[in-house]
This record gives sequence, structure tokens and C-alpha cells, in this order.
Amino acid sequence: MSASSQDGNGSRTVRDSYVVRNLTSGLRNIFQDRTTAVYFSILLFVIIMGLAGPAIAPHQYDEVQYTDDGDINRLAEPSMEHPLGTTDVGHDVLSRILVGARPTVITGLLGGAMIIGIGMTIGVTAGYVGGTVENVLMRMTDLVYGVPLIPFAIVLVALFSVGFTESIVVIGLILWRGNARVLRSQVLQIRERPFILAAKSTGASTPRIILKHVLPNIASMAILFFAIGVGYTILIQAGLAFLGVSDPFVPSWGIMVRNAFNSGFMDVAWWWSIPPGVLISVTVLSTFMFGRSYETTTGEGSDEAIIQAG
Amino acid sequence: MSEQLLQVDDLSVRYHTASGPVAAVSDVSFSIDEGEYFGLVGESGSGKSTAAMAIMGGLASNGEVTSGSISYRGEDITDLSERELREKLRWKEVAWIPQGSMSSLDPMMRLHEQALGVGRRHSDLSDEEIGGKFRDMFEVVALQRERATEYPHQFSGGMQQRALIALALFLEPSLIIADEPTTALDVIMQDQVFKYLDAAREELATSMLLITHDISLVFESCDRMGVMHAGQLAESGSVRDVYDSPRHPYTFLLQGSFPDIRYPERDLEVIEGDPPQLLGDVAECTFADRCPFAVEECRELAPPLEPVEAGEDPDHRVACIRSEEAYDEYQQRRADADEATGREEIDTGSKEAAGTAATEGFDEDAPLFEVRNLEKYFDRNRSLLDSLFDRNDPVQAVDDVSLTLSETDARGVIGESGCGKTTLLKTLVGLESPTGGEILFKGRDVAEFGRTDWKRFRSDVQLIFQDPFNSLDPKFTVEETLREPLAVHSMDDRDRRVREACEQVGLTPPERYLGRLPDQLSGGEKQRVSIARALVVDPDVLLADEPVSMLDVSTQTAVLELLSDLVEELGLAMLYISHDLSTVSYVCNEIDVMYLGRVVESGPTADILADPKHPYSQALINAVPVPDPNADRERTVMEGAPREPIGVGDGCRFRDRCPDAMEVCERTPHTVPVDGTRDVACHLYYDHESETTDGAASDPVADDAGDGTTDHQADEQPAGGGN
Ligand code: SF4
Ligand code: SF4
Repeated sequence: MSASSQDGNGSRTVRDSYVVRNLTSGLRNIFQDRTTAVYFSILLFVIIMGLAGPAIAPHQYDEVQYTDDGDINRLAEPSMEHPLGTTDVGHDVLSRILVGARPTVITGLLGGAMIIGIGMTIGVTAGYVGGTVENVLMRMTDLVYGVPLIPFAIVLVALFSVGFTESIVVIGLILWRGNARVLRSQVLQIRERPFILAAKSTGASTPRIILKHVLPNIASMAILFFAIGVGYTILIQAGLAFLGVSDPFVPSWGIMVRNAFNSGFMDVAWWWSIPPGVLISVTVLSTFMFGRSYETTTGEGSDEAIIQAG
Repeated sequence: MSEQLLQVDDLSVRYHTASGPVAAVSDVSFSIDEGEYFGLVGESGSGKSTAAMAIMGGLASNGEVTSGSISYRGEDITDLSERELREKLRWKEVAWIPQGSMSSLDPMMRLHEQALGVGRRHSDLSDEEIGGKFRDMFEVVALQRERATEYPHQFSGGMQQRALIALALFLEPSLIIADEPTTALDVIMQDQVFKYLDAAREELATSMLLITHDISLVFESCDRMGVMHAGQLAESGSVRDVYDSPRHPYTFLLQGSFPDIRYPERDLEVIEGDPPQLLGDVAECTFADRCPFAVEECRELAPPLEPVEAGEDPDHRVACIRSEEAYDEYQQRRADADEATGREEIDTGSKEAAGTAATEGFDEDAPLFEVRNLEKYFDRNRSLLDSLFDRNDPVQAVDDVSLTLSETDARGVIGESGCGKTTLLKTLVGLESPTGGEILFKGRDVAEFGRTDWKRFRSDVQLIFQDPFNSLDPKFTVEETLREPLAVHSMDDRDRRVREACEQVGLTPPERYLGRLPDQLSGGEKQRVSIARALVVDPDVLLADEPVSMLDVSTQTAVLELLSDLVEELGLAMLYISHDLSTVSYVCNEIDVMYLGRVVESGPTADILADPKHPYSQALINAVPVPDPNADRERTVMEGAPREPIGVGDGCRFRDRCPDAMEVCERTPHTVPVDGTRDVACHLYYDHESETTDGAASDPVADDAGDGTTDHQADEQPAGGGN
């Protein structure tokens, strides 16, 4: 093996270990703290439900259940056969919950990814490049700050179409604003640290500095923001669904609550509305708390950052 | 001599931490008499600040006095709460000058209001008297009286520190406890503060407990001293005894590790390692791991602090079982070392030039850097008012600076904070663009550099930063940090280069360090990594910005040694920027003295130190404390602080503080050669007749500078200029 090829290998292993090391150290941090681990497992559980839910659901989510007499089994209380009872049209609630996990997870991941993706691109570019670029980007952010999310979503969705994906995209297109602001101010601070100056003075290019020095140093904050973004999207999407500004045929948990409410049996059929409601709350709460304790365990991020992220 | 003021007996302090109790201070005893200055010296982590905190009742919440007693004027104050202490003693009796001024001044209150608050609570003085005294103190610390009505944030860091000193002292306390009071100040200001403290001691019999890392300050100002290491007193006694016959290895190594501007060519002692963190009980000499004289017995029990051999002052105590032998060995070693090196003259750049392959466009024979009339002005952020009143003078951070850096030169740029030395450095490396003048790198104008030229420049010229704690990416291991520049410059043979750089900076064996993150390195090691990062691309020039100012004394020395070795062995050129004359003089063979953006004197280090010509250089050199209680240094007489380089207009910029200022100083002085070895920009050193007749400048006179004319001039002018 020649010296140079060995060298090439050497640098590759280093780069691998660099990413791996940061990931593993992040995970280790998570599991050191008991409460964080709990929140993390809840999230993991929801994600697994999203993946496997439809497969393990005992019935089709839109399959009408009949009693032994051949009647439609409406509003049945929880029983062995229907552990979470049935709806007013005879659908099995448990199955709907399991199937509904998937759209919820998709909502969270898609929305969270959009929020952090747009927010980080704009925040980091503005913070690092500065000057006119920064001004334009930040004015844009301010503009988006002026947009009231729910009314805006209602109008948009009403104008175009009432779709599941559309409702998520609208949320993503607006909620990045907080991330952009906070990440910009973070980058402004990092930019002034001497190690960036050191990198500049060795001649590293701007993309290289951003990639190797800036991003890793805001990574844990980005994870935190992603988690918060996931939570917010799920919550707001559920809200939109409840208001009817989403596709009623995608059986998300939000839609379930809406159906329960619209049926007029909300107060009778607690088994119908409470499980999706609780699941939404627990999921959202876990994302927030997970992000929160991740931030305390890694010692990065700040209260202000979390408030701003909204 | 007179009444005993403070008495500390067997004081022990423990911090409760996650990894168990840490013995921060163990069995420390000392006393301070009225009118006496007691110096407590040690590195960070030696427990000196903790001891002071314990006395002031200001320990952190996890700290606890586990044994011993503290009494003030015979009264036991060990168990008083911080609050009781504040009521009874603070301000009027005991003044406390903590290290950071930021946390000690109330940001919401004007300074004179803070003084009023303190004065009303702790004295019977009327408001006018309080105001008057406070303003008097303001003058002493060289702040304008009127500014006493301003808020803390309207002052710069150094000024806040001075305001804090004024606040601590205006009630004329009997005892001052000062924790690194002048570390944040420039050397001239430090000198002024101590000049005042000296006067206060004369008049009011003030006492002081001075806590510092700077052993020269203690030698010079204090009467008695204690040297602390790892929470214990290693040695204590009168300053004279400790200086003349140090008995603890730590004391004499520390003493030897300080650069002394009187002997710039002296080798410095390096103390290995850091002070240990002591968990649990200690049953060995805590210095054993760092002590070159350690033997088996040293690790068997903790040596008690005992009076040194009979016949000497019983007050001189030392905690070392081999004190006699160790000192003899040490003397022997130094004598050998002196013989080996001889009293060599400082080598002024006669070293072989390192052969580098010539590349297109770069003239390898030209000086590395040639700076001509460099100018860097900053626009201030102009407010509406400013533009209305046409107040738009720029900040003249660097003004008309010329200097040359040839291969193997080690050139130091020295000046107080704000003199423009850092801007000069940033402009040199292209992080700021000059507003005038030119910079030639290897004979080519930097302004005309293209992309590839910059790339080349960036590998030839490397920076070393002041702050080792922030100049390494916290997410990068040492190896990644060192590989980064190699990747940027696509250099081959990376493994070898990385290892070599590690070895060059003394990070051996490299394997031990390569995998570590900055968190896992000590301050000195971080700075070594920083230096290795600079060396790894095989540069021609190192530009160092205060590379040791944030390090501990022992580490400082090691890094200084390293830099000076590197320059010699690798044939590098170095531009070393600092406010600290003693470190500059240790590393550099040429010095430029900067004042308010201009170079006022430049020449060989030895010459400037021995016989500074420019009044500012004289003041600067005078102000450096000399680590010798027997030396009788005159304190600088200079008043005030440097202005800001805004709207300074024509004239010598030093004229408002210059003791020799004269009328002609309203005109900008030219830089002329003096004594054949150096250039000085001062009217004292050239003939003005020729200037007025021959407007061009005084070069003709200057050329004769070596001969009697200028010398004569130099002697005559101050007397003549006084009228
Ligand atoms: S007791 Fe031993 S190890 Fe400690 S200072 Fe003295 S000689 Fe060194
Ligand atoms: S030019 Fe005048 S004011 Fe300036 S240093 Fe010389 S004597 Fe002093």
C-alpha cells in the first residue's frame, strides 16, 4: 500500500469517526438522563406505531363493524372485541388509532424537516454571509413573522384545495421563521470565535468553514429545533384538521377528534375522542420535553431559543 | 511592626464537587500587620483566590471552611456570614477588589450613586464629602472627575477596573484585599495604581493582601509573601528572605520562569505540568510530580511548613524536606547552563535562510513582509447627531506604519491595549483591508493578489491566537484540527506532517494527544495545538497575537521557550504582538513600540531595553515591575491614559502625556535614525532648523545619526525644550 493511498484511507476514517463520534456522544447524553430517555422511548413508540400500525391493526380502519345480530355496531363501549370501542358509524377505534399514527408521524417529520431545513439555510446564510444578503433574508423573515398562521392556512387551503400534504407544507412554510432568527444569532456568535478566524486564516473556503466548523457547532441546537418543529407541526396540523382545513379522508388523530366532535356524541363516547386527543398531547409533549432535556444535558440552546422557535 | 490586623490560622477550605471533596486550601496560616503588604503568589488553581474568598466570607455555595480561624483586629470572623461581614467590615475596614470588574459594579447605577450608597452606609461623611473623596480617587486612577456620574457600561473594561479600584479605596480602608487587581490593566496603569497604593501606605498605614500570579509585583511591592501551590503554603517569609534565599523548589523555579527585562537573554525555567487537583487527604508533597528534585521520601508524607534552618528569621518558613539540597542543585544547574550557553550576544538575524523553492511571482530573496506607510482607518458608526455636527473623524487605528520582516527575524510589536497592534496584525494577514499604504509579501503587493496567490499566502503565513480556549474548534479532535489546514491546501503525507508538528511543539508522544478534544487539554496544551496547527503547513512566517497572555506563569514560560526555539531551529520569521514587554523581549530580537496607531521607536531589543530613546518607550520600560525587592525602580511619572485615536490631528500623539513635550510637538515628528541602530519618532532627536528650511524631512540629518550631531541633539533638547 503506497503512502498516499494509506493517507487517503486515514482521512476517510477520520471523517467517518467525526460524524459517528458526535452522533454517539449525543445519544449517550440522551440516555444518561432518565427523563430524556423516557421521552425518547415514547417518541420511538409513536414512530414504530406509525411504521407498523396499519399492519397490526385488527380491522380495516374504515371497515364497518357489525354486531352478532347483523346491526351496525355503533358507539360500542370498549370490550374484548373492540378494546377501544367503536364510532358512530361502527368503525373500530383502536384500528383507526393505529392507522392514524402514520399520518401523524409523517406530518411531524415532514413539517419538522421543512421548518429546520428552511430555517437553518436562511439563518446560517444570513448569519455567516452578512451584509445585504443578511438584510434581505432577515427582512423576509420579519415579513413571515407578520403572518398569522391559522387564518393564513385556512385562506390558503380554502383557495387551493383541502389537502393533507398542503396543510403540512403551509405550516412548514411559516414556522421556520423562529429557527432562522435564533440560528442566525447563534451563527453570529460562532462566526466571531477565534477558531473560525483560524480557519479563515489558513485559507479555508466559506462553504468549507460553514460545513466543518459552523454546522457541527449548532448541530445540537438544530436537533432541538427539529424536535420542537415536529411537535408544533403535529399540534397545529391536528388543529387544522379539527377545523376542517385538512383532508377528512386521511384518518389522522386530528381528524378523529374532529369526527368525534362533529358526531355530537363526544360526551357519550369518551373512548372515541380521548385516545387520539391523549396521543396527540403525549406525542407533542414528548417532542418538546425531549428537545428540552436534550438541550439541558448538552448544555446548549437557551430558553429564549425555545420561545423564539415558535 | 505595629498592631496585627489580619490573622489567618490553619485555614482549610474544601469544595464539594461531583467527584468528591476537593481540598482547595489546606492549613494556610499568615498574618498581616498594620501598614504591611502581604503577597500571595501562585498559579491558577493554587487556592490563592479561594483563601481570599474565605476571608471575605464570599465562598461559593459548595465551598466550606473545614478548619482554622480568621481574625480581624483580634476578633474572630471565621463564622460571620457574608452579610454580617459586609455590615461590619466591608468598605470602611476591609476593601475588596475582586478580579472581574463587570460583576462587581451595579450596571443600573451611576458610579457616584454607588459610591454614595456605600459611603452613607459605612461612614459618617456628608454626601458632599463622599462625592469629593470619590472624585479625588477617580483622579488617582486616571479617570476624569466628571465621569464619576456615568454608568459603568460607558467605560471600557480597563476603565471599569479602575473605577472599581476607586470605589474600593475612597473610604480609606485599613486593609485592602485585592485579587489580581491590575491584571486587566496595562503596565503603565498598573504602575500608577501601585504608586497610589504606596502613597496610601505611607500616609494612612493601609495594609494589603495582594493575590497575584505575578511574582515580580510581589517582590517589588510587598513586605512579606506566601507562595501557594495546590492549596498549601510552599514557602512564606519576608520578601527579602524569599528573594535572596528561596528554599522551596517551586519558589525558585517560579522566580526563574519569569522573564526579567533586565536580562532578556536569560534562559527561563519551565515548570512541568499543572497544579494537581486534590481529592481527599494528601499524604505526599503536592509538588512532587512537578519537582525536579523529588526523591522517594517526598511521596511518603506531606512536608510541614517549618522555619528554615536556624540562624535565620523564624518567620521564613518552607514546606520541603530537601530545601537545602534542592537549592544547591538548582544553583549548580544554572551555573552549568550559563557556562554552556555563555553570555551570548543576541543574534540579530544572521541565521541561514531556509531554502524554499521559488514560485512564480514571489521573490524569495525579498523580505517576507515589507510594510510601507500602512494606514487603517475605521469609520465610526455615525449617528444622526454626528453627521449634523460633522463629527465624522475616523478611528485612526493604524497610521503611517512601516516595518520590514525578513526571514528569521523575530520582531515584536509592543504597545498598550488600543494602540492598534492587533489591527496591524489583522491588516497584515488580509483579514482587514488597508485604507492606505502598501503591504508587500515576498516583494509582491498584497493588493494585487489573485486567488492562487492568496492560497499560497495563507499557507506561508500562519497566525497564532491569543485565546487558546476559543481558537480550537470544540468539536474537533487534535488530529482533525491539525489535518484541516492540510486538507485545505491539499498537501500530501498528512500523517507524517501531523505527527511531526506534534513533536515540534512538544506534544509527545503524539498518540496520546491526537484523539483528544479541546475539552480534554489544559490551556498550555491547547496553545501548543494552536501552534502545531500553524506549523503543520510548513509556513515561513508566524504571526502571534499575545500568544501567552491568557496562560498561567509556568505554562507561559514553556510556550515562550517553544516559540523562541521554533524561530531558531526552523528558521521561521515571527511577528510577535503583545503588551507585555518582558515576554516580547524574551522572544524577539527587534522591537517596534507602538503608540496610538504609530510606531514611535524601533530597533534591536537589547538596545531599546538598555536605553530607550522615545519618552513613551522610556515610560513603558520603567513601568515594568522588576522581580527584585532590592532593585529601586522609579515609578513612572506619566499621567493619564492613552486617548482614543480619533480626530487626533497633527502633532505627536504622545504629547499630552509626554514629560518632555514642547511647542514643536504640535507638529508630527518624523521618524529618524538614532544611534545608528534604531528609528525614533520624536522631536527630541532631530534638528528642526533643517526641517523648516528643507521641508522635505530630516533625512540628511538622519543619515549622520550615528555621529555626534544627533547624540548631542538628544542630550540637549530635553533641557532646551522645557521652556
Ligand atoms: S519535598 Fe521533595 S518533591 Fe516536595 S518540593 Fe521538596 S524536594 Fe520537591
Ligand atoms: S515629539 Fe514631543 S511630545 Fe512627542 S514624544 Fe517627543 S518630546 Fe514627547
